[in-house]
Amino acid sequence: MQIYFSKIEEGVSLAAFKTDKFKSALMTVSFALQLDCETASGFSLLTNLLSLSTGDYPTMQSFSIIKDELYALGLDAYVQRRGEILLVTLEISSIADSFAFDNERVLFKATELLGGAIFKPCLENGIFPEANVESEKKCLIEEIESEIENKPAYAMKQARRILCAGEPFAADSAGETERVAALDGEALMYYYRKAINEAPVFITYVGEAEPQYLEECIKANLPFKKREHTIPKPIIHAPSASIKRVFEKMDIGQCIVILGFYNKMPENARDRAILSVYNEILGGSAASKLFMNVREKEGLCYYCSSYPSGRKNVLFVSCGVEPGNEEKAIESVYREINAMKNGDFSEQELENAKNSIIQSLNGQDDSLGSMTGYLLGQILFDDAVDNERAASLIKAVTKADVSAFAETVCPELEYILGEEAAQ
Amino acid sequence: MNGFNVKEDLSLKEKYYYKTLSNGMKLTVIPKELSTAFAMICCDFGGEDTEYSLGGESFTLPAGTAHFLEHKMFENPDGSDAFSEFDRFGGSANAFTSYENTCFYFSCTENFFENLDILLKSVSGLYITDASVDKERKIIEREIVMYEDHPSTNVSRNLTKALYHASPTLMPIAGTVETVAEINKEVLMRAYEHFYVPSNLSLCVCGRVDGERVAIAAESFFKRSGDRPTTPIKKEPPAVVREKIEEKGIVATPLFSIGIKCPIPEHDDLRAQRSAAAIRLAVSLTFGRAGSFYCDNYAKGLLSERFYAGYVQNNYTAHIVLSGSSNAPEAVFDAAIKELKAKKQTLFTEKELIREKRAAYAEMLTLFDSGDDLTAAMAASSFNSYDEYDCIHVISDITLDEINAALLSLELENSALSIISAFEPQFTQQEEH
Repeated sequence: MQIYFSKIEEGVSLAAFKTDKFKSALMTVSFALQLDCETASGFSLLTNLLSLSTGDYPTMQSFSIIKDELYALGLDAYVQRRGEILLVTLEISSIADSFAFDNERVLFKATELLGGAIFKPCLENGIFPEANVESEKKCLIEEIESEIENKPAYAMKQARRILCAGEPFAADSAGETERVAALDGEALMYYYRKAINEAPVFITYVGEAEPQYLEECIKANLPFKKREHTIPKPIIHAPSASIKRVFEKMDIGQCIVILGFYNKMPENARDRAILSVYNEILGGSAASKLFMNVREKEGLCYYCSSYPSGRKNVLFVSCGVEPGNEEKAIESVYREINAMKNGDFSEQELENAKNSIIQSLNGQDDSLGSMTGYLLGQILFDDAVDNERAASLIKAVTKADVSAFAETVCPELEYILGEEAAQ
Repeated sequence: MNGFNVKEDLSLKEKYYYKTLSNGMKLTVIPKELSTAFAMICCDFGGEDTEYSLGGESFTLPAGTAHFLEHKMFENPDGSDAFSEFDRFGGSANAFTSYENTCFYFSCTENFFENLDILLKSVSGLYITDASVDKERKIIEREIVMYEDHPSTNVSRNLTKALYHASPTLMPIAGTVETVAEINKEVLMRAYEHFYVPSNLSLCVCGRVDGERVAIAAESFFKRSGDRPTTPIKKEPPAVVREKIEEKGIVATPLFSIGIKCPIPEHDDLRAQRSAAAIRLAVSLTFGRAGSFYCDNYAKGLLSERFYAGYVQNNYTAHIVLSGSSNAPEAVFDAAIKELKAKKQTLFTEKELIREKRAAYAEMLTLFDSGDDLTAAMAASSFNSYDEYDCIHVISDITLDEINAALLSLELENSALSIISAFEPQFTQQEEH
């Protein structure tokens, strides 16, 4: 896999994968900031405004028409999280130039529009227009409030908030309704300048463009000034001496149980390889212990999976159970967590898990989205390793490594979302 | 490749090989320079197939039977699970059931033929006991309740109830807790015997795969033969059942789903796809992001980012759907009907059509960028007289007259509105240590 790295400017990095596999292309521009409850709402609302219109296409309709004319160009802006890093990301997904009619330079025109969204947003008297701000505030508040419609996702967010209270990790990257409501055009300019002018920039590209053409598009349309390359480091979650139980009442037919765990902080690529193998065996696939035992053997739920974080030392297990079966499910999950501690998994399970992870690493270059995530990781983190090295680290993981990691996994939270508290 | 037909599209830079195997199974091989290889078996048996005929005899099945079978297919004779076997060879496997079919698939970067054997072995036999069926029923009940807790599923299901009199899609694909209670070992065995015959199955593989070896493997696992069951054509009256259904749910802003019923084509052929494409383009032009309907109503606060406009057409349904969230769903409904009435007067222009066709072409191209989506689409289209290549060319060939005719043919009185409005949830948190 041939990846092209380039420093566009001090603090502005590019990672690109040139390939003819796809008929479309995906470019992302991400600004890395500290995840924080107080500022997440501002950055989140900023992404809504940047994707709404630009100075050259100041109305939503004019902006949509030009995008449709450019083969339904997808130009989105959103916030995402990597551990305790908040990324303000703008993304263009476009048709590959070679599939356009009349030899159009679609990538160039697409980056031109992206550049407009970043450097020439729609402003009035130097700030975001009040009408746009108010309408996007309403939309974002609705979006945040609508999270209760997806109960498992809502439950996971609540569990994260409770388990990591007081830490940046507890912050919701989409923002909080009260903080969104308090924002105005002036305040948004602060977030805009903070992201666009100060934050380190990470650009990824997957598609058919030659590096030379890609750099031409970037240099002509994305004139970033130099900035410091400072990436926020995560705060280590301290272990708790007791298990907290939280029940939240909601009128639903199925209880959602989320268990939160402390684990040793993965400090390097080798630690992350061990964590991946641990998770794959515990609850990362349909052959995992949680799926095979809690779902298949005991029939307690439709889904039961584990979710670690490679950049924060907490792990969650989520399952949806019949009301009244919460305690059984919790016991059953703890049984599997303890089985991992006791080394109660075979060499075959270990090999299968390693093989499965390596195969998914090997297949990453078949997906625009996966490849983009991989490229971003390569330039965002100083200690990132390439897939070849990651695969060799996975191969080297031993049963003793997994058991030693499992020893550090301690339960800290039992969160239940359901109709009534279990007796 | 020996004995295979080939279809190549130079403008798309795509090709595939296909043949019907000696056992009647349809095989499609898509050569692609990918690191991953994909395989999918598709059975032409889905949630809608609750009544069928075979050998002159008529049968009925409880709703959810196809989906229940899907859950049991990866079980081995010794009670173990095929997922563990796939895991041994690094295959990532799964399955899903739609209204039309049931599909079983895997992807891998190594050991393709080992994984293919597991897939073929799993689908070529059903190993169930009363106890394993009872245990699975509990898991499926959890799945059904999980979807019932999802208001977006409910708003769309209620729209189906408002629009259709006799469609099997009135029942959820997974059935209900009541209908799955009727599904037992005998029901599953019979459905398996009738539907899982090679002539009712297709296999599609994609990647750097030896198609001839795939054909040999598929023929060796599926030896039995049998006719394909036939499903009845249900006549659906043009009028809706109810104009409005409203229900309460846990939502922050009311959800709505508007449906405008269209005639269901008698045959699923390229002509039907062309009519569907004309309606889809008319819907995108009227309700898409670049249209004044969306932009004006977004500015007024009547619509949000969640607004979706599309057209659904399959064996038992055909309707335009407009869905999203709004504090005034009735006003959205009125505005949408008014917009269509106005469009019927002004009609679309050639300039609008060119823009929309470009957008539709680009969106359809993305299918070829996803090995799993392409495999799924081609496996399902093996039972049709057209494929995904044809559908792209339909878009480029379609004329302004066809789009305007599609618009004029819409019978706006055959429309309905489904709403899930908010009730105050009681959020209380209790903590204990």
